[in-house]
Amino acid sequence: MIDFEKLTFIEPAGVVFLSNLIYWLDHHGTEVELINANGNVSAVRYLDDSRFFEQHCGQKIRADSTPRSTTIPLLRIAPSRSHDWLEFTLLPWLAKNIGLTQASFFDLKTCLSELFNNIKEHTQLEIGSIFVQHYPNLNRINISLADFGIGIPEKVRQVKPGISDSDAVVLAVKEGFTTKSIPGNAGLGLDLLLKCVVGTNDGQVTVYSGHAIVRFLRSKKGIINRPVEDVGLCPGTTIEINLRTDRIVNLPEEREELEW
Amino acid sequence: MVTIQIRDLVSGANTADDGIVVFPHLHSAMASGARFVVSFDRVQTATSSFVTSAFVPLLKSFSFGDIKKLMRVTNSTRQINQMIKTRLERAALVNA
Repeated sequence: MIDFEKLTFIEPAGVVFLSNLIYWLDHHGTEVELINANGNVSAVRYLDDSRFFEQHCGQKIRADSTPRSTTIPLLRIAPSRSHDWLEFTLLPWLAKNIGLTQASFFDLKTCLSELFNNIKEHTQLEIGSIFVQHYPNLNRINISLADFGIGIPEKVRQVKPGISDSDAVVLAVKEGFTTKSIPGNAGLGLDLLLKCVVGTNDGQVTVYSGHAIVRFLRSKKGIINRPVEDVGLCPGTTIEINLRTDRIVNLPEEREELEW
Repeated sequence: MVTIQIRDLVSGANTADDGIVVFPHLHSAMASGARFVVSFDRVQTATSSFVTSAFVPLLKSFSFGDIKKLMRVTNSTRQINQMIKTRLERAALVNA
């Protein structure tokens, strides 16, 4: 039973985490009941407008609930469909909401494609959940993505037995690290994400997986991590990307030739 | 000059599977010894998985110098160009 009575606030990452948790429980044969979801409470209204209750209960809490213009509502998506979604839904939405060219988001799109490729590789059901929130007044975009594969710590322990959950997450984002599960995986997904979001954009990336929460941010020393131990269990992996919209460079849409 | 249109072969340069489809076409063009064009017309981005499967294995048969001499990448984007160049440069360095 998941009780919403005391829920007063929820972050976008919490929306995908909670949604994924329910799917994970359901997948493992647990019947989940959502109770005390009061449509007058702002956090519940936010979930309702994010299509959370539509997905999990088959209907909205409030009849007039509708996705907000500042969000791309919660979506379950197979990696095979994700690349089209990135190209035809996310990029046009970002370009319109932030007022920049689609080309300005090509690096971000590539990073998200890599993450979906990782989901395909590591998740039995090949399904991910994604939710996007724009905070125009804060000049910030939050993109939260979750899967319910075996999680980064378990995957890393296949090649580094005994490593702690948070150390496993820190290792997994290092350039060149790969569990080499399939040919073609160069282990660049999380590394590229950090370079793009933290290194270039001065944003933040937070990885929730297993018993680890690790936040990556920029300091004078470069990209640093802030692990939080003993925080409960995150089945699979949730990745929260916080982008600074005031730091995204508006790039021209023009095509170019590769100069070796 | 032969032109390989990536979009004629795959719907996007997104996955290792896409790269596996493209690789034999690049290999065949390289093996001909003549200059050729790889066009990314209507392709926005390329992932590392794609480049690692489509371009990097060329280094098993050809030098990085030969690839630069024969392959012309056009109608591309800054992101695609950087990904191809960086991945090939790193792989060539490891192979050296």
